[in-house]
Amino acid sequence: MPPPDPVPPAAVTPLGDDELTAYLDGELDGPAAQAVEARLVTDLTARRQAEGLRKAFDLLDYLPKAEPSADFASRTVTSLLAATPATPSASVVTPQVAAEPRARRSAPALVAWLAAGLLALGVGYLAHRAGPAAGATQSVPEDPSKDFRLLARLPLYVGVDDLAFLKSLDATGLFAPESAAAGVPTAADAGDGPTDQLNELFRSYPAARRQQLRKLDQGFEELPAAEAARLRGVLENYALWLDRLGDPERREVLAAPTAAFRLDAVTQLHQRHWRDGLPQPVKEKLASAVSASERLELLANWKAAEKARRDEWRAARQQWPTLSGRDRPAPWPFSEPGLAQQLDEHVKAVFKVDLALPLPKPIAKPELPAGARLSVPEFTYLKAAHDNAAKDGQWFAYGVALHRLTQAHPYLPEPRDGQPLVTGVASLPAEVQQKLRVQPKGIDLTTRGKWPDFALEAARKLKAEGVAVPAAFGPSRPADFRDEVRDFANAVLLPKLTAAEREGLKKLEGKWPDYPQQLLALARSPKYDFAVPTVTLPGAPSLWAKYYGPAAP
Amino acid sequence: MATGETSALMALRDPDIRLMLRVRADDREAFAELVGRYQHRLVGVMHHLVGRRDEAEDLAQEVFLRVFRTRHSYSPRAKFATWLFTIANNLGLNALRDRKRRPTVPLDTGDASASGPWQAHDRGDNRESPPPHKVQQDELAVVVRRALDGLGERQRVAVVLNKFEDMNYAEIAEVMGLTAKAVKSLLSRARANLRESLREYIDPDGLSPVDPAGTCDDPADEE
Repeated sequence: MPPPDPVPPAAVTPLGDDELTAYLDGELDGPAAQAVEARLVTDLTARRQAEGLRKAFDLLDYLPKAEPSADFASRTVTSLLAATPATPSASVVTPQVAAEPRARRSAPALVAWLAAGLLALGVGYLAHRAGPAAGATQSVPEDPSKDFRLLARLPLYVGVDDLAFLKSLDATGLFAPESAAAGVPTAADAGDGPTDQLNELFRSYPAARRQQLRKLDQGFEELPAAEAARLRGVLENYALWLDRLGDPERREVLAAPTAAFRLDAVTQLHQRHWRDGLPQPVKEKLASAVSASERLELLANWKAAEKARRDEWRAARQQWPTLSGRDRPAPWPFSEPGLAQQLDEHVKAVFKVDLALPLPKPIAKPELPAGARLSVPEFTYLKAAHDNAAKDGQWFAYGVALHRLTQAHPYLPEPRDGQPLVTGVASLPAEVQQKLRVQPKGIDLTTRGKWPDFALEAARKLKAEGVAVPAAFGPSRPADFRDEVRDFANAVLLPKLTAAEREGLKKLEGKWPDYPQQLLALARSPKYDFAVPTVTLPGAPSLWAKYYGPAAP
Repeated sequence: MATGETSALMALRDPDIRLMLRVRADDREAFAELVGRYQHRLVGVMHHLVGRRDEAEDLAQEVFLRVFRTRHSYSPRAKFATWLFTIANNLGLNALRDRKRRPTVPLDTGDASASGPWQAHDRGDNRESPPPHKVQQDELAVVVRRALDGLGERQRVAVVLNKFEDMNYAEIAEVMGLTAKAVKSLLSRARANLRESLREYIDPDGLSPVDPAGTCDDPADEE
């Protein structure tokens, strides 16, 4: 069909903005839309007019989009529900009774707020949300004689919806028991038996909540012993934390309408308390931060430091029995003769020190053998830990020392036999020697004589000056490595890598230290969890992290 | 058809109506779910209307409060979202009119999330030298905000529902209690006003004819 004849703008009535807007909004029916389209083809003025309207609307995309704050939903729901009395069917009139918590760490104040009836709202809601459905399905038969155990634990179940909630609470790590033993249920669980008051409190709950509690208790009872012990500790810590809260904050947790909101309220409160509890100098530093990003960075650093401390404590707790008493069995990896021997060899091969040697004498300037990669204080620390382990069974401290020093002095695979180690300027290609001699500034000269420390230092210097690192610096493909590493790479690691990982590694061939560093990173990643012979600590990296502290980032 | 049957059919089609019927029956978990589902949309719309996040959150909270308070009289006559945004429309318009009567300068003028007719004006006129890309974007956001704030309240609501909630004219008409024809007219004038306010950003060469049909109006005329 031939195109329609151009229509002189003056010859027709201009299109109105309302027609064009409706057209742009897709609000015109077929014939009307076609008429506008036909007009746009021929009428430049109309086209520009429509374009202007479209662009004006498109510019609205530049407006910032607001997301509700993280706690908006929980704040909204909690404040509404707290401000609105529950309907008669949902409300629970909590009798003012004195409960006797059977938690081994008794909490008198917990009794106080239980007794004060502050739970009315929270428990009322919990009871309500369980609803008739909960009572109708999977009901646990009512048998007062079977509630004996449940009643004794009742103070611990306050603010707990069900087993899933309890496990989620555990997963936050906020209420982790200090040791698994802390939560082991004992005969004291049953104690002298629940008091009449606890019984009375329990009977005052709606049937649905009673069933919910029975189900929780039954599920708790059926857990494997170790998990039950742990969750028992979580319950205790949670109950004590609730106890320490002020009334409004406690209400914030207990009045949350669902388990998810309750969990959210708990984590938000924790976060708030953590900030409030920072030491004054830290708060001042925070207040003096010039930008929001600086504040966030400070907070992130403090959190990371706190996490590192927690991890160390957790590692220590896991090895607690080995920290005292020489009669205790040695922990992993010292419990495995093969690994223990490899460790001794590893220390000699990687740190280049011999722990059988006596400690350096505290004379003016104690010295270690040439090539030793540890400083005198580091050697002293490792040697003392080693000797104490051998003498007093303090293996945990030795494990921590090994793990820490390995992370402080990462090793890289050595070149195959016959190839020189780059440990000084003399072993570098002539042009690099020239470069480094001309500009030695910025080079840490204490690394001289040490592999791979000197080569890494020189490579860093070259990279900083935009000079490519020659391949002669170190082995950067499997065939260049010593036999142990080459065999490990070819027979163990490479076959397991995904195509993408293999491809990525292949691209780094010829580049030092990138290739060996990537190879080590892949081997040690949780996905593969391999020790690299003659390079990393013998034994699975995940076990080192589990027992002796987290891996370095 | 009996009302009960209508409700049942509507509820079958709209899961949010089913949720709201549970809220009506005092199911608080359902209410929490409803808040979770609509918080982003509601806060987003309110923010576009009033230009400040804190105020937007307060208004969104007020909307949820009204939903909860009136739950017992809820009767599904339209899509749940339409009903919810009708409440939001009323509250949003009230807030805008109230602000017009009693203009106040935001206290935390350093807050990047804050905008509004007064603050935007201060920022928008400062365009001495060409700023870097990010600054240009921020500046453009301020200019667009100013243009939106320059619309009359009802035009603004219609634009926000159309642009950001993707509502058609019939839905907007239902939310705002107007006819579809009135919405068409409202949106057409709103677009023309925006084109006028943003002219130099739309066509820097000044080639496009501005308001050829003479439909651009003073926002005050709409009320």
